[in-house]
Amino acid sequence: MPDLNMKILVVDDFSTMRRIVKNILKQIGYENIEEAEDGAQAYAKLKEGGFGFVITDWNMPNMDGLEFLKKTRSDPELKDTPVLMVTAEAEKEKVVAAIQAGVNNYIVKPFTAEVLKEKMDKILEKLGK
Amino acid sequence: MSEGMEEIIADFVTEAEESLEKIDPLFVELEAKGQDKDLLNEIFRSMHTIKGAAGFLGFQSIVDVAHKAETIMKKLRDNEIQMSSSLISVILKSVDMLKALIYHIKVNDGQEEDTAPLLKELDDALNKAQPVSSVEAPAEEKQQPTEEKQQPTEEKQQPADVSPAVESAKEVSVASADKPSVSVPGEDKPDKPAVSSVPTGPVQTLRVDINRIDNVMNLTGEIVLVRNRLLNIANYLEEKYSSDEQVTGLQEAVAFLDLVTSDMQLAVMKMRMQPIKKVFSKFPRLVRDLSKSLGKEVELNITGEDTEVDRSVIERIGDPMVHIIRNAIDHGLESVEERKKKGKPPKGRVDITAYQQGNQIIIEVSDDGRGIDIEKVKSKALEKGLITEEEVQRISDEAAANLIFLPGFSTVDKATELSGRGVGMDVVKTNISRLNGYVEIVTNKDVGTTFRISIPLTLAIIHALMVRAGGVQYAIPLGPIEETLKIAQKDIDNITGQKVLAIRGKVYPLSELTDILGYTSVEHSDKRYVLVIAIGDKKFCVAVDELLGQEEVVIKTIEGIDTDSTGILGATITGDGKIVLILDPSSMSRKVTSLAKV
Repeated sequence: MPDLNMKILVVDDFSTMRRIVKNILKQIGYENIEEAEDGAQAYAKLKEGGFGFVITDWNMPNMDGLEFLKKTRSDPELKDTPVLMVTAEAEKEKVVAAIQAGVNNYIVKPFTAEVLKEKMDKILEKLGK
Repeated sequence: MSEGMEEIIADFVTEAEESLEKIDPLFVELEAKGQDKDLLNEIFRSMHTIKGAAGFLGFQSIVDVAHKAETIMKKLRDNEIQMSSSLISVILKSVDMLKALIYHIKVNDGQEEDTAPLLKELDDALNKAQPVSSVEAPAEEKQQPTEEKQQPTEEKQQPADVSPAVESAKEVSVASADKPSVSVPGEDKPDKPAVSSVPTGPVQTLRVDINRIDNVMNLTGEIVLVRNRLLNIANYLEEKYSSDEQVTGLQEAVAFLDLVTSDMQLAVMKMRMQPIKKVFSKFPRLVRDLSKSLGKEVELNITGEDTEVDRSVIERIGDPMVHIIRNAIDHGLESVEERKKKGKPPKGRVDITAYQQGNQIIIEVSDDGRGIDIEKVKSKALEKGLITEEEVQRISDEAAANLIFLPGFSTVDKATELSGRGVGMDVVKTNISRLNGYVEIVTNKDVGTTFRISIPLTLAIIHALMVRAGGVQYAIPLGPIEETLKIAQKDIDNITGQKVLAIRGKVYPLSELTDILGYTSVEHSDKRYVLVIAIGDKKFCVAVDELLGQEEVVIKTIEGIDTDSTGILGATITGDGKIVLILDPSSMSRKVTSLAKV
């Protein structure tokens, strides 16, 4: 059973999307959720510490999801923070690049609470949490 | 998803509208710059984001349109197909369609757009699009299988690494908790310069219902009034009981309240300020569409779009500006042939500029066209009975140019679809004076025309000079008042029936405030106080009986009073509890010049 108090960071430049994802997370039972508008902001937030999970969009200004992922993975403090990438449709070449950069999994939008829960549980289970 | 669904949809509508507005001008830039990767990427991203959210909310038609348009954008961005104006046109159509679809959601009218023809058009456009090069794309594809093989190893590595990192993260948080006050600021500082290359720090925003902010604004206005009143009472008490300790205490408290109120006013004002970009971003598309349909070539230059203005200005300045821009392109700019004949560059120029000047926001729209034909304006105004034969002879060129603002004036004989739709420039003027602003025209034959709009920084609270004339107290906005002078009746000269005052060797027209306000037969004392007022390039003097001091006043609009015809902006309650009318300096300027004509 995953820890429902885990602090989760939702990264998306579109605030409606952040709200939607937050809503879905709340449906699963997660309450401790913070937001960031792009990769740069997300990275700064992660550095503050305490985050157990990141759900990030791909297409964002300033720093996109892939760049953000690469940056966290090359940061010794953050390299093991689980990251779930949200993509619009399963674009093969994109997914490959994300996996290469060390993403834990990806999810295609629109998704339901069930699918998100399944993906998150799988990642957390793998990491032995 | 049931929770707050309506709110989320409302948010989606606002946000989607904003991003569509933002990408409109990018298309124009794109046409100019060609296949610019950054631009294409930005447009792509907006479409993509809207599509993503729409998918969650079940707006399938938005998803369909955005998806097809996005596919084209992506192929353009990745250099797979060649850009053409027909591709841009069809994508612009998609943007318009998305706007329409979002509008239906916004007003919840249950109407649906038929997207099928557009979807087909998008498909056709993509099929017809020319490939750029056939070499690059396959080369990339070849690499993919090898990349895929790498992923299992990468994935395997991860679990092993996890626990130490989590522990170290815990250690960090514990460490900083031990010595909270010292370590936190220290950790912050080295962080910031590192991030500063990226413009977004962790800026937190909160969307608030505008009614709530307006409410705070109104309440602040009330507090300003109470503060003024308290200041007055405290001053009175201090004079009367200067030795009383309690009165000193009251003075101190009121002085602090004064300070805090001013800060609060500023803070609330800033809360309502938005960059004027919000309005300006529509213009590149407008200019593009206009120049296409009129067959003119137009280069648009926009500067100062980060200038911040009050929200109500954002809401109300758009229409008048659209009108001025249409006029500039339709009437101001010449056709390509005409420009060539005159030795001008074939491409016409329209410059839009915004900047802050003191307490005013200045917005200028200039064109390098033929200028306003003053003689034509005069004869048209005469023909329409707006001025008399005699006035035609005497009127200055500047005043004549301003005739276009009169209701019922339109210089183009045949109203074109673009500028002359019955409503003319008078609407521009009315809209701008509603914002307590004014418009001026500077025009030169074959050089061009500039419309300069001046609007006060804040609309609700102004600094005003309290004066007395004809035994009544009035408030006059301080902004346009350049200086005040004390003179005697004998200093006032008379040139052909017009009172004038010489100030440092220059002569300015002078009117008694009572004359401007239409008082009849008022006796004036020998000692006169004069306000020197500048409206744009016009400078004039207004004489009053007494100057009572400066006060911050909250404008309360009076229902049923038309500022243009009465010259009254509104009313306010002063520190001593009196109701005082606030006068409009720009109508004064018109009255002084018209009095000068008689």
